Parts: sequence; structure tokens; C-alpha cells
Amino acid sequence: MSLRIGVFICHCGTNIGGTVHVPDVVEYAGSLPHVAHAEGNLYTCSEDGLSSIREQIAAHDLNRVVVASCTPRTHEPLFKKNCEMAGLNKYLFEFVNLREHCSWVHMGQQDKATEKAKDLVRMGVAKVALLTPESDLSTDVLPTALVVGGGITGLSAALSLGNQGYRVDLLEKTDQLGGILKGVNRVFPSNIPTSEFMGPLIDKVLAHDKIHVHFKAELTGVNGFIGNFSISITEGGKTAELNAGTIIIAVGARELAPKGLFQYGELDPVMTQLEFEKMTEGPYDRFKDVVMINCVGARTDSSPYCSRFCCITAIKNATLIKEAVPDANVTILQRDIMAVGKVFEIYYQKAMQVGVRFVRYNRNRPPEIIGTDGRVTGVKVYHELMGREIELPAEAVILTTPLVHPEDNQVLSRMMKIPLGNEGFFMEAHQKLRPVEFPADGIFIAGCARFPADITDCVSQGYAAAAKAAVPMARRHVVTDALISEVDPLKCSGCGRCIDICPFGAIDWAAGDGSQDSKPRVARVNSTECKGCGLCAASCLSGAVGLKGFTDAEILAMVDQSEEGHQLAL
Amino acid sequence: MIGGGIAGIQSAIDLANMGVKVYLVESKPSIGGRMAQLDKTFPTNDCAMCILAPKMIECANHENVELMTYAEVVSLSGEKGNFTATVAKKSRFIDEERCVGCGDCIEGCPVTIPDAFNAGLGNKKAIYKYFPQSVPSTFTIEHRGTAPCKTACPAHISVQGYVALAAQERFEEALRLIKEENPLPAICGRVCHHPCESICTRGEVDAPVAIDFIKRFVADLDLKADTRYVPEMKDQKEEKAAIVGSGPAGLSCAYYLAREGYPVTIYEKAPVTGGMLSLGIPEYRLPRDIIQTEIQCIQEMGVAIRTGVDVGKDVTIDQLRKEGYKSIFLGIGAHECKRLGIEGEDLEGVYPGVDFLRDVNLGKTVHIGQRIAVVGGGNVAMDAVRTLLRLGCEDPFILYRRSFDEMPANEEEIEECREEGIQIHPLTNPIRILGENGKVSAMECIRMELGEPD
Repeated sequence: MSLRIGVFICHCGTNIGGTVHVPDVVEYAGSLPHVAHAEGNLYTCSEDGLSSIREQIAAHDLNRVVVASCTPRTHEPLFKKNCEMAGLNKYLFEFVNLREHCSWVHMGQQDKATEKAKDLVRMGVAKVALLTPESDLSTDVLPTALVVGGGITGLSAALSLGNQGYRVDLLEKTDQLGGILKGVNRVFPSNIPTSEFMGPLIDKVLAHDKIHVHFKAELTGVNGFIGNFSISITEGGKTAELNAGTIIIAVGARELAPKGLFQYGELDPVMTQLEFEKMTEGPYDRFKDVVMINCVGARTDSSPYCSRFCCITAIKNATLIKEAVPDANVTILQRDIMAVGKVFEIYYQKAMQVGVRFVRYNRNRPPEIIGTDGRVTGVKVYHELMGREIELPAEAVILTTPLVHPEDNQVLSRMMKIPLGNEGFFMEAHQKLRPVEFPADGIFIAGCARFPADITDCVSQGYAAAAKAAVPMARRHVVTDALISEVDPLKCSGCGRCIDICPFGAIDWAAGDGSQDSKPRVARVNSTECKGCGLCAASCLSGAVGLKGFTDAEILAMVDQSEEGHQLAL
Repeated sequence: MIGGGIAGIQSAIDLANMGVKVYLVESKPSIGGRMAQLDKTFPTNDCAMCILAPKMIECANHENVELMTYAEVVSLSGEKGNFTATVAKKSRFIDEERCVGCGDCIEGCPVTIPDAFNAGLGNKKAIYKYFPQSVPSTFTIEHRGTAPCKTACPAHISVQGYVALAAQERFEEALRLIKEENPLPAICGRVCHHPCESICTRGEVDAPVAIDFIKRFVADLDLKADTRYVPEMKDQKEEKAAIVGSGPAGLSCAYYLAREGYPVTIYEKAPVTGGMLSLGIPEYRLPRDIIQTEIQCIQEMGVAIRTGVDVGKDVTIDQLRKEGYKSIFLGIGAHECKRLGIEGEDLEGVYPGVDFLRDVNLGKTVHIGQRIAVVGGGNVAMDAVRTLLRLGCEDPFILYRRSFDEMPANEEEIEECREEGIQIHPLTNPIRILGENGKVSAMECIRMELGEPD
């Protein structure tokens, strides 16, 4: 069948059209070999543009499509799906990025940008000509889920999945469910006792016939891929094996112990908010003069993030002290009050109404705790509005510290090939579009494992992750992209570089027949785990690994066409 | 799913992926919500639409999602597990099945209004796509009700439409629009009492839009054009129609029947066509060539006019039926005057206004004196008194029973009367007409007082 290529060039409003002279590029594209149709669109991704592609595929009997527009990251699936809707194999599609690769980086250079756009389109046309039709891969999905972490997030996710009828294995590192909330007396903004809702939630999970809680349990190994993960755990010191179709990571976070800061551990009592709450003997009426210091170890050069709700925790405890001891002097030394959230601003104002004092301190002139004989007597702080240092008497100093990542996140990250962000929390696949997913299919993230979150957010994310995990389990199968790596066993030298370099753990050794030790070992790609990143293909010294849709021939055709005047070698 | 913003879209996609049928109800013409209005989204600062557009399309193309845009849930009943929602669909005034979103209509639309999607910072046409990447890409007409001018217009012309077209110098399109509802725009542009202008909301600011003169201007351009606008006509039909009377009613009837393809013949008793246009309205106000040119257009559409045929005398309805007319329209007008019912009304020299105007318009000799009273405050009275002046009468004047404010004549008519030096005596009403030798000699009047409006 002869090649009939359609080229669709997007103005992206003014994003591309403002710099690249699109009509020129369209005319040029129309002159390229095998191009049966070329057109410009205001927004190719709009329904107008998409329907035009479908119509032109039919009208010109197109068997290859090139869209020159923006980034494949957000738009490639859209255009591929569109080709499929028009009856064209979706792998006969090539994406040219005229925006990030051209118009945005060459603003104000219309002529040059237009010439470059022509080059890019010519390269895309050269490549698309060589593409071959492929078929999506399909994998069965076990309707069981593994939830790692028995805090409020994990409990919510497990209960949601259990209620939808999926078997859930819930791993809890300790011998108790509840996570960090076990040590929290009351919760903002209602100030009800934590046990009031955590007790029933834990009871429901424990009594649920679909949920199997594993106490004192830890992950030791994860193999496999979406649909059928093979999981090794230790439970109470014994090893066990599990299978799951999906995994939710809800390992939570921990409160920073501010060692070396504000004489923590040196003077008594200087404690964290959680330590204050854990004081067994009615903590709220214990002190009459209390000073709290916020942002301890947070929003610093080395740890720049705001932990989001420590301000509200401090306000909660300060309010509870004032309610228990109305003539108590409670002062919160703060750098900024972050009271973003439903009713939090009102909660903050109520604290002021009951007499909690707020004094702003400068990060460069931090408060100083004074004491005698190892006991706290007061806090000196430079009062910015008064322009002088003041001294506050104190029986106790409470340090408000941020949530930080669990120490063993690194281990889990390596074991499961799931990424960590700068702060040491797990990183989602896309900050906005895929907030509870990992790049690896079938593994989800929720709660403080992702970033410090309050109870509302933890529960929301737990439910969201459960809903996301339920999608493949409800369908019982997943479809994955065909553009993955493949190993040519005849060329493979068995060096193992690709196995080491694969960030998804998708490559292993092909099982030999076992009887002949002389048979060379060769690498093998697991089609479901492979994300088609191409690292293996790039690293293979033998040229044995190829990536579908990015074969050497295809890439070289593009290189060949990167300069005008080369003949399209077909 | 109520609400088609990013939250509703994502939820719909996830549920649909689980195999659940989702009805996504969005009150705006497109899904996308507030996010569609944003340029960039923090903290990655990537383009909001680039993130949103694929989601919108994925949602709309999903086999398990049924989009219900430009619609609102108006009631909800039932309970968990079995809800019934009633959805009110707003009309786009567009055939949604056929609109392909090509956008040609934007060029055609003459109405420019602030664009709410762009927070009023830009303009859009009254026919619009919510935003370029709208899903669905169907166009919508922003229809804010019927314009007061159109409501007030007896012919129900799309006044707001032709004024907007004329403002953009698209005069031929304006004329076509007028002629959808009114076959005689040049005539009406001169003599209509334009209730549209009285109700025009622009009048609340300064003065009403000069709607009638715009119509006259647009129509006159066509009268002078080398090729005049003749409406498209449907395929010729066989059934003939006869129309009795060539006044505005008969002409209109003929015009619309001709457009539908029917052969039409108009029978006119008078020697001239136009009915009251020619017989009632004085020539100084409505030049005869204007009437004829406008009627000519109707004749070009194939309408035959036979003047001097008095249906009922020269030819009967039965005879017309026998001649093959399947329908007969009576547009015979109202050419008889109501009598005042006072003493002396039968004296020589007392004319009913309409009779007087008809005689003058037909060129008959009318015997008048020098001092003539015209009783009444309507347009016929104005026409009569000003015609008298033009016939050489030195002192015609008006008697009107109520005050100036109540006069039904057009304001400009009254104004022009005064400019021509014609006296108007308000709150004056005749109670008898006196005569000598059978001829009018005097009139006895009483002074009126305004009572409660009736």
C-alpha cells in the first residue's frame, strides 16, 4: 500500500502561530514526499481539529498522521485515540513538538523559527513513513489490593476498597492501627477526641471480611506488575507471600524531632506538639505559662517546605490550654500563620478571641529559651512591631515541628521503583493530573506518604487512591502501550546493563532450559512492566535492545532529514 | 455528575472507566469549568488548556459518558441506589445534530456583545463557541429574549437584527431580513407610526434608535439598485389563489403566497393599486412612485394585479372559484368613516376624512372653501388638514376634543402641522353643524375638560 501521510499543524492560538508562520509550514509540508494532505488548525486538540483529522483520514485515505503541535506528554494519547476512532492504527501516528521545541524557545525570531518548524515537520514525516502498526497489550488484573500503612489514609483506602468488594491486604508496621493519630488527643477544628472516630474506623476495618490486616508487617519484596504483583512480607518475624492486582502506598510521615534546636532535650520541659499531647496526665491544665514556637525546623534553607497544618495544631493546643485554664498565658511565636482550609481562618480567630497571643518572630532573630538548673523559665523574643526584645515567662516551651518522611522511604523506593521527591516524600506521577498515582501502573499513593496532609486530605486521598485502584480491578484487565522495548536474543551478550538500568524493573533473564549451562543467558523484557522509556535501548552495547516506535532506522531517518536537501530514504 | 469542571470531568472518566454509565450535566455550553478560563496553572505554570483539553475530549468521547451541556438539574427524586434527575436543557437555538462547529456563522452574526468567558475583557458575537476548544464544539446563540422593538412591531420584524446589520453597512442583508416579515419596507419606512421607537430602550439613555428611517434608507437603496432584491421562491405550485384588494393586506398575502410558489391574482376595485396607501395617504407623505416600485417587486414575483374589478359586482366569488381559484383572500380594507352623530352632518361641505382624502388622491375635483375645520387628532386628520393647505385653502385648522398630549397622530405630524401654520384647537368638540341653504356655514363647539383616562 502506498504511503499517504496527513500533516496537521497547530497554531496553538498564538503559542505557535505567534512565532511560527504556520501557513508557510503547511505549504511546505504539503510538498514533502508522500504527504497527501496538510492543513493548519487553530487548536488541533479541540474537537474541531480532531474531527478534521478524522475527516481527512477518510477523505484522503490517509495511512499515516503527523500532528505538529505541543507536547506528547499531555496530548499524544488524545491524537492516537483520535486516529483509532477514524479507523487508523494508532501507532501510525507521529508527534512533532513545535511549541516547546520551537516557538517557545525562538520567540521574536519568526523567520528562523518557521524554518526550524519545517525541519522538524520534515523529520516527523520521515519517521512516520517508517512506523509499523502495533497492537495494544492486555493483561488480566487480580481483584485484590495491597495497602501499605495502617494510618487514617490506609484505613480509609482499605475500607473503601473492601466495601467495593475487593480483597485487601493491609500491612501495618506496628501492632496497632491508627498511625500518627494514635498520639493525638483531639483533632482540629472540631476539637473532638481522636478516639471518637478512630475507634469505630479501626473496628470496622478489623471486622471487615474483605480486609486482612497484617500487624508487625513489612514489605520485603515486590515483583510483577499491575494486575498481578507478587509480594513478599514479614509478619511478626515470619515471611509470607501475597498477590495483589494493585498497591496503595500510605506509609505516612513522622513528626520531626528537633534535635539541637531551641535546647530541645537540654532544658525541661521543651517538647514537640505531639509529645505535649502524649503527656498522660491531663496536659491541658498542666501549665499556666506556655510559649509555643512555630516553624521549628521548617521553612529553612535545607528544608524549605511548609508542612501545612502545624500552625493549626499549635492553635488547637493553645486554645485547649486556654479553655482548660482561662487565665493561662499562652503565646505562639510564629513566622506566618498558615490557616488555609475550610474554617481554619475562623479557628485561628477564635484562638485570638479566647486570649491566645500571637507574636511574630524574624527567622534571622529567632527566639531564645532561658532557663535555670535545667528548667525552662522563659523565652526571649525580638518583637518586630515593638522593635525591641521582650521576655515571656514560661513553664513549658512547645516546639511546633513539621512532618518529615519516614526513614525507610528510600528502601521502599528502591524496592518498588517508585520515585521520591526532594523532600523525601514519595512523588506522584503528575502534580495536578495524576496526584494519587505513580508512574508505574497499578501503584498508587495517598496521604502523608505524598506530602504532609491533615485528616481531611488523608481521607480524601485514601478514597481517591482506592477509586483509582478500583478502575483496573473493576475491568479485570488493563491495556498497555505497545511501544515497549524488545531484546533480540541473537544479539544479546548477556551483560545485564539493561537489567540494572531499567527504572521499572521490567527486564530480567530469560529462563534457559536449565539443562545446558553453556547456553548463553539473554535479557528479556516484561511487556507489562516496560514503560517504553528507552534507557535499555540506549545503553545496550550490542545493539540488541530496540524500542518500538523509536527503532534505529526511524531515529536515523530523522537525523538524516534534519538538514534540508537529504533525500527521503524509503 | 453535576458540574463539568475538572473535578466533574475526572470523576466522570474514572467512573466510566469502571464501567459505570455517567451523565455529566454542565450549565455552560462547554465542559471545562473555571480551569478553562485560566492561562497557566501553578506551581508548574503549565498551560491550563493543555492539561484540560485532553481530559475534556477523553470524557466526551468515552462510551460510558453522556454529556449534557447547557443544561441544569432541576429536580432530584428517589434515594441511594435509584435516583431520578430531571434535567432542563437550555436551547442553543442551533441544531446540535447538524452543527459541525465550522464557525462560518460568526462572520454572519452582526451582534457583538461582551464575552463572559473572557471576563468581559473581549467581545464575542451573539452566536458563539464558548471557547475555541469547547467540548462539544457546538455553537450557541445567546438569546436574551425578544427585543422590545420586535415585540412592539406589528409586523414582528427582527428590528434588532436589521439595525445591527445596517450598522455594519450590510444593507442588502438588512433588507432581506426586513423582507422576511414585511414586503413593503420603503412604504413603512415613510408612514409607519413606529411603535418600535417608542419602546426602544435606547430612549431611556438619550433618544431611541431611528429605526424607521434606517428601514427607509435600507429599502431606498434597494429601490435605486440596478438589480433589486427579489425573494427566493419555492417551486411553482398548481393551486391558484385570488386576493381581493391590493392594499397592504392583499399585497402581503400575495407576497407570501408567491414565495411559497402559488400563482396569485389580485383584484382591485379602484383604478390604482395600493389600497389605503394610495387612496388614504397623501402623496406629499408617501410619493406614488415609491408605492409603485414596491408593488412592482411583488409583481416581479409573478403576482398579477387586475385593477378596476369590483369583486361582487364585476365578478363573483363563485365565478372566481369556477376559474380555478382554490383560495380567496379578502383584504378589502375599511374605507367607510364612522359618523360623528351630530346635527348637520349631512350638509353639503361635510366630508368624512377618508372620503375626502380618497377623492383628492384619485384626482377628483373637491370643492372647498377657505376656512375649513378638521375634526380629530389622528393621522387622518393631519393628512386631511395638510392636504387642504396644499389644495390652496388659506385657513384650515384642527379641532380636537382632548389635549395635545392625547393626540394619537405621530408627533412629527403634529409638529409639521404647526410649522405649516395650522392652528390646532385642543379641548374643543363640535356639538352641531350649522348650515345655510343646505351648505355648511358654521359649527357650534363646546370647551372640553380632561376627565379620567378611559
